[in-house]
Amino acid sequence: MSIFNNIIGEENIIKESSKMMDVAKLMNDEAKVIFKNESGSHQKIKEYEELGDTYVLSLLESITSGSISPNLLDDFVKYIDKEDDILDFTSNLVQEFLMYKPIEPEAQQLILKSLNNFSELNEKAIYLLKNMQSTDNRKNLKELHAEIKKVEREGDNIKDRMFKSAYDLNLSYKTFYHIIQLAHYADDILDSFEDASDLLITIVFSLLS
Amino acid sequence: MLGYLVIGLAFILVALVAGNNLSITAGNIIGSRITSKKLGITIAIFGYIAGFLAEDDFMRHGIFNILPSATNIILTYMFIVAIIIFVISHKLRIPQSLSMTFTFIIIGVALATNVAINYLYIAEIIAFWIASPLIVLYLTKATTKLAKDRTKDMPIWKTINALKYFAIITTFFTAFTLGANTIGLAYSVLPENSITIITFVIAIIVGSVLLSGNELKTISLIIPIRYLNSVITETISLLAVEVATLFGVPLSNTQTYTFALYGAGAGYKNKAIVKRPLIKLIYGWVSMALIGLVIAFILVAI
Repeated sequence: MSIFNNIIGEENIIKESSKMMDVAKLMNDEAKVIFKNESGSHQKIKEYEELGDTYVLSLLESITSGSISPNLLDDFVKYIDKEDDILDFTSNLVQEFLMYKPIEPEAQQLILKSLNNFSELNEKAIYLLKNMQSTDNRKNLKELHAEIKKVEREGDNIKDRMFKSAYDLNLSYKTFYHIIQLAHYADDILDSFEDASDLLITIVFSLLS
Repeated sequence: MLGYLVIGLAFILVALVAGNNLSITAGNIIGSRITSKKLGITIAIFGYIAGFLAEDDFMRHGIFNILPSATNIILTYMFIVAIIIFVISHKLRIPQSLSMTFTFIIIGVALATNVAINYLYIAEIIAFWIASPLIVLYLTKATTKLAKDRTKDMPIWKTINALKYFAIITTFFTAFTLGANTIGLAYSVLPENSITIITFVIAIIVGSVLLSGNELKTISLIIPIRYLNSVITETISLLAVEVATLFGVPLSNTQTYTFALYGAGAGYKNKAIVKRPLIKLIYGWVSMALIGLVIAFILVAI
């Protein structure tokens, strides 16, 4: 019944958007395997990214079809975009990782250790954002949001350590550039988690104000 | 012949009022997409008709104190003046208060025809017009703060969804009170018969469907409205009008709702309220009402 769909419009969209986190988990798990094996194919990651794109289109259609309060339309669209960015940056990260293997063993060690740490943080962020999407409790929502911010700050620390090590080690330019790119992509994923959680909490609290 | 003319003019006026006030009655649920425009208008139409049919007697007993009866020629003048004022307001996109305008027209006619006016009743009307907006403003402000405190620990989605259902209910009852008070006011000067009633019902439907577009825009400029304060503003506004109806006092939904909106805005910690539309509205209400009184007096006196 259309009026019922409009009543629960915002709730539906947010709960539907958790499918993007399911895709993010699949991509993160695949990325972990690739990092552990130090090789692999980008094919599966690309397929997951395309699956995410179909969810994005479906969500955007639902958002613009009339069940969302107009003053929140922009925020909803940005929120879905941020979730899509998580998937896109994960794909970029894996692609960059597979593109080049440093000849310097200390560089490869640094990369593997850092990316494994990032993968753990991503897994935590996925769990937190999924819980934010399903919670019905305001206090819980704020706590989860604060946790995501902590995770993002931990990611910043790992990124900074990668940069410092890249500068400190005696590396070829190609290896140096590779490390910097990986650090940026990995950090972008966590930034997108933080931005998505910021938008989600803004949307929910503005509905309640 | 003149009787039919009066009915025709009443039809036009009621259609204008129903359309003009749709922004107050169903603007929230349509604007926030709780319902489609069609469904929002349908709910408002049912509300108008239910209120008009259930409580029209209250306004008749009240207005008897100013104008116990009127000839068809006087009624013709009254409705023509009211329609002209409404058309001007419609063009200027100001939600007009028929309650204030028509009451002043009735007073102008009563003065011109030297009828024995019950000035105590007029004092009661003025007291309601001054006190109600202020009471509504402070009540809304206090209720908004209280509601925010009470709902802060409630489940998020159950609260939001419940507020949306409540908004639909308040839309119906806001239309109900408008049907009883404002449309009832127009009916109060006409003969009580089924032809008048049927005319009014058809006018409500026609006006709501065809004449409601522009006014929706002006109300939306005052403050961005959220579900919680939308329900609170509508509830307090309709309660004020219902109390006035039970006393037989014409009271404008537009005025009570506008002041309730400001009360809701004042209930926020960080507020961004645009005052200019309110000043424009008050200026419009008062000036149009006085113009109505003067024109009605002159026409009837001549």
